[in-house]
Amino acid sequence: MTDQPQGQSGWRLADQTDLQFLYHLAATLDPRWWQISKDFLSPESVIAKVGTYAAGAVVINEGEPCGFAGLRGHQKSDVAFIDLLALPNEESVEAVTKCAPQLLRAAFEISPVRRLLYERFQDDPHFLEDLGDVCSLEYALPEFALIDGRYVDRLSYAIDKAEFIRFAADRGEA
Amino acid sequence: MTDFTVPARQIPMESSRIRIRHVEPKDYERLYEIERDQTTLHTWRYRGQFPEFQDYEAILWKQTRAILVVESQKTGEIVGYHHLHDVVDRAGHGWFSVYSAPDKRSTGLAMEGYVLFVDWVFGNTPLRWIYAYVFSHNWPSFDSSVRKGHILHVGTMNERLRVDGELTDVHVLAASRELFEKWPLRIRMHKGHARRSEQQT
Repeated sequence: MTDQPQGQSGWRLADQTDLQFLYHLAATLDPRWWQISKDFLSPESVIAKVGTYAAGAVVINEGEPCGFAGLRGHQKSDVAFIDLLALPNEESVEAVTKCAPQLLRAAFEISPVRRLLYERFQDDPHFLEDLGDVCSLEYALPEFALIDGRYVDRLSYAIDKAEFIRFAADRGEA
Repeated sequence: MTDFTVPARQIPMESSRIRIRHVEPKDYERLYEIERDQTTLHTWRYRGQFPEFQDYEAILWKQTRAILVVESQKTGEIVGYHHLHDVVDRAGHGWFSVYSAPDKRSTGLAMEGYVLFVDWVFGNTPLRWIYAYVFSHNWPSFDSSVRKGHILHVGTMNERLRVDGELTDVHVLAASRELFEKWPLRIRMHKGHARRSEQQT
């Protein structure tokens, strides 16, 4: 993956120097970055869990990191998870939403998977909404976690590689 | 504060045909035999690479909170087991798996154990929800429980895994403490249990 600036927002591969930002992101969103927060947040847990991602990218807006995309999964599986997160402000959410198709394309390019899975809480921003039916809801785990005083569902979507490539081609993004 | 409205039930728990109890090391050989079956080999846990018996115990208990074996009342044989795993204390949920011995499938024995298992989970832990992944070929075992409203079918992962080279759908199920408290079967079971306890004293 390479830097792909697009207007004022873009993304680059994450590296060790991003750990401080990633902890800030997890702490700001807690517990919405569920992979990190489910067993409670600590700098050690962020370092340990970020290290389990197969690849990660930091989304940049106005020169500052504002979001993260991470690819995770089992080596022997032909599907993988993509996590998409943004700082909780309009500009950051917009920047991650704008970069999301490029990040998906990069994920399909570097990983031999036939499908990407994407999870979000029901009241999280939906970064892949523009994909329409290409990002299909497969199941919803009811009352999955307590956030801000109420139980929220966890939604799980699937993005099929072939369908995504067709979708991107139709939009002239292939 | 958690409202423990489901009364705690002591192990072993019994129904007319089976009883469930905590697993013991002497049971591992039988569990190993049950899990070596082809349809189990492809689950997330093994991904087609089933361990040698000497490595089995450690893998069996990985990310696990409880293992309850299902025994036949008639023969004492272990006919299946229930596995509570990937519990997230912060969220108050966990995942469960149901295993049936290959020669005992279609007998309903493991599913009879499932009712007792859920009773044990909600009577002895603070979990609110337990979820499960079920392969398409195992769906008939759960179909009746879903139709009766004992458990919710919350979606399907299409062509999620390969079993014997074929892509297989995986269903996702969810059972809640609240739903369980309303099961007519559970209410009948508890009345029977209370009656037996009274007779014994």
